[in-house]
Amino acid sequence: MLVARAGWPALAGIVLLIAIPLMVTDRYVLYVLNISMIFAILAIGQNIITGWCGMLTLGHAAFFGVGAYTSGLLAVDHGWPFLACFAAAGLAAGLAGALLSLPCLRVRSDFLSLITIAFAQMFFVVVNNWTELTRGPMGLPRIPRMEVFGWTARTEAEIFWVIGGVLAIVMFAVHRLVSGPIGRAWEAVRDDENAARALGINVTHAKVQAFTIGCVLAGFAGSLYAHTLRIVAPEMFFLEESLIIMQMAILGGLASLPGSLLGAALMVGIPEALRSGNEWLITLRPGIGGALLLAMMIWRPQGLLGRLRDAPPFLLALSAALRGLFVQRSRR
Amino acid sequence: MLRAEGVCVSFGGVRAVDGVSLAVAPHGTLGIIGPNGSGKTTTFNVLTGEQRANAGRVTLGGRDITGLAPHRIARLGLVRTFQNLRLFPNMTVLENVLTGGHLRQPRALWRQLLRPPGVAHAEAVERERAAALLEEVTLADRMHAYASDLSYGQTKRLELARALNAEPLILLLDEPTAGMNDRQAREILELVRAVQARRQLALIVIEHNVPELARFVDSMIALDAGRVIAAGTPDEVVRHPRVVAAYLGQEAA
Repeated sequence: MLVARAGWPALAGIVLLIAIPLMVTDRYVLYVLNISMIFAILAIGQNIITGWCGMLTLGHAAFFGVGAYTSGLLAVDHGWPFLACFAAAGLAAGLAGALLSLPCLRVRSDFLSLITIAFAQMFFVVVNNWTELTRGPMGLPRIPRMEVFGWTARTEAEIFWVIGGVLAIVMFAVHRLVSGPIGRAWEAVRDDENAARALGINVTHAKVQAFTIGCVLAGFAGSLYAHTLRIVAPEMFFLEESLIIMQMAILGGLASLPGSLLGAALMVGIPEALRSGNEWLITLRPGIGGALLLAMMIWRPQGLLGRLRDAPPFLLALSAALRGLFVQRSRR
Repeated sequence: MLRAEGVCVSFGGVRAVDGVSLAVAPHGTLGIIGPNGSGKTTTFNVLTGEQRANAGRVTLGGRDITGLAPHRIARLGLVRTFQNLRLFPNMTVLENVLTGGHLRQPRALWRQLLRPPGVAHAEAVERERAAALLEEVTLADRMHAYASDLSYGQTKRLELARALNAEPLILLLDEPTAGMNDRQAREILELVRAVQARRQLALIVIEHNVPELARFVDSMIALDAGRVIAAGTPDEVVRHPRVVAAYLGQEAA
């Protein structure tokens, strides 16, 4: 029944989810996989906003941070159980997203990208300086482990099952949204706002909805992150992280769920794989993601597994500019 | 059923539409003709809410819809196509048509997440319906192609199918045959005529192909420089001295 409705990929996913921690014994590899899965949830959220609904936002890490701090503070200061913290993290990030997007999206989406950058900066300044609440730059330590109905995830394998379970549910839910009328409305708005309006689609509603859902997912990811690393600090949610999340969504492929998985796995995995004592590698590491993205912008602007026929205008413009800069010059 | 009275639109100092009035009865067909820049599309934009009028009133079934947001006007049954095609290029042909039926489909977030049996059934019904519409406009074999991969004639038919799936009471077509050769133009107008007869919808068509248009609308208005220079039956309008002058004048220039 489940197979008939969700198909073989879903079944294969569930089997992998159960089997991977049993087969992979290296704790470090499992840790990297766990972090990749958290970033996959973030990338999916970013992809709903940018890939499906066509809005450029550059502050996703701030919503990730809102979730992480909400979850961590409720657990450390108020002793809330993990599941309640997790739900509150999604709610807080979603609320922040809705309140931020509603006024800008009523006007024009271009404002949103600017406002999200401003929000990311403000978030950083606030958590860095409001030391009584957030402990400031020292970070918030001793966040309890993830615990579900009295069972605590202690080993990396157990953490894998919790995060993997959340990721699977997120993918299932997002797949349902994007394959029905809600996702079609997002895509219609992305492709042509005027035509969408002419068919009765409330464009503002669709955009605020997509943005808010993307932020809720960032909040969930933040909660998982906080309870996995067991410490949160302001610089973990800096503007740079937002760019990395955006890179994951674009690199993997806009409007593609498997793309977001791949994007997150590559962007987390490659730098980890290149971790070594070699000095030149240490110097090179931060540039890898940028180089990957640059290459992709030039040759495949819709991303590795992207579903879009044409990349959105801001990517096409960037792609054309880069191609002009690099490819054509080298041909001379 | 749809009535516009004394609609005026100015862009800066230019009066693009200057006191245009028009009316179309339920199941009626109205043609709008006029040289380029005479205010035809701007008039359409006022009717569908994309352009605010500086003066005048638009009513639909007696209800004042002047200044309503475009999606609200669409929800009242006024659906349009565009002169410069506006399909959703990154969606498939089928998805484009499905999007036309957006308002009929269950859109509550929780219903789409949990998908109770009714929701899954509704989606299946919508897909069948969209497929039937594609059959009607002879695009069924291109159902799963991306809209951006269609030929020009096919995109026009897809836009028609998408608009029809919104179940309009009044369909506004902005130059449905623009850029087509005579044979293609006749085909698409035949299709529009068949569709209109089958569904008994009211139709307003902007068209440059005056003889073809005159054959199937029951009333016509001619615009020039934002003003209505003639209104009446197609025959009356086409023979009207000012219309003849406007068209001949344009051709002479």
